[in-house]
Amino acid sequence: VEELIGWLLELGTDVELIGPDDVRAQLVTHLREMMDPA
Amino acid sequence: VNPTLARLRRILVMVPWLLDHPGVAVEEVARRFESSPPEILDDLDLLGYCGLPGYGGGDLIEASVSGGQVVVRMAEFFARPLSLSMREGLALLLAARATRDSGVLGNVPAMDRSGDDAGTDGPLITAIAKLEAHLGARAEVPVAMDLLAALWPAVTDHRVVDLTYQSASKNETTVRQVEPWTIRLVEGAWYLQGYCRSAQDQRSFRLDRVKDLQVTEETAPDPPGDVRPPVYRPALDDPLVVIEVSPQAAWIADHVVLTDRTQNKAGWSRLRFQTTTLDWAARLLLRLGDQARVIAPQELADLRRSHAQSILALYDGPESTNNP
Repeated sequence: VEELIGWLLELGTDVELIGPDDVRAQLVTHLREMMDPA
Repeated sequence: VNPTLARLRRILVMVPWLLDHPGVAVEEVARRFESSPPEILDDLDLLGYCGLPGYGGGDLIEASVSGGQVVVRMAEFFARPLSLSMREGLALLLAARATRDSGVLGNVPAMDRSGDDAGTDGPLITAIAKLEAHLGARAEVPVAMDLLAALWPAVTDHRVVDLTYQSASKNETTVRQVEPWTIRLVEGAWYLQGYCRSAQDQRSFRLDRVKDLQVTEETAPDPPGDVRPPVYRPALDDPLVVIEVSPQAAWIADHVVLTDRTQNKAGWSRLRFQTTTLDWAARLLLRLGDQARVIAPQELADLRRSHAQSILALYDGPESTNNP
């Protein structure tokens, strides 16, 4: 899943993950961590 | 390669083969293991000092040469050949498939080195089947075989090619005329190296980023004699980047050309490197999430945040990006 998220992030806005929901949620969490770094 | 290590590797592979081929000529051993007869004789001499603990008679390997023929005994524990690691196996499989699909061997089944017919498929095909069975499901690695097949004659016949190429560093698609020099497999990726007429300089193109390829009728000049493998060589004006990464994200150090690396008490690494564009570095850093901190330049941190915001908008809707 980490590898998949990595690919999706490299592809940027050219691709959107439709499912599964839990992977989508992980992707969103990952992105939010970058928006609001500790 | 360290000569001692190379010698050890040769001996480890050679002993099982010698056990399987008693009485083989020294010259044949040298040919098969890409060495010289004196080196092989040295290796065989060394074998006499190797064996199982106890190291007395009956424990050490016996290697004898009589009338130019080699016989190895007391090494039955070596009879099973060494297994390939996954990395070695995949590299070999990719190269074998590329050779098969390039058509360079034609349709005639190749004979093996001893001249024996290895069956209607030839040794390359049977070797590929064995490797695929050995590597299991992981053997299915996508390779741009159609591109390799089209490029191979262009390289050997020195034909100019028109490439439509997606640049990773600049995230743009360009059409370029390239005089092809060679094709290489580097770190699991295939590259075309050649003279790019658009850039008026030597360039390397990753085949999985080639969107289209046309081989023209135009003959290209002969390639230079010494074409080095593709590596990123930082230019003076390439931006300098400093980041800190956690131990889990330290793998990124293998993907950049570092100028400096230090480690703090928490185990985080501070990496300093140059990049062709900050955009490329920002997209690479997207993968690392909170396992990476941008120290400098601020523009890189802003770019990463901006990329993350754009992607997040796809999933959250625009209103959510204001409330992370």
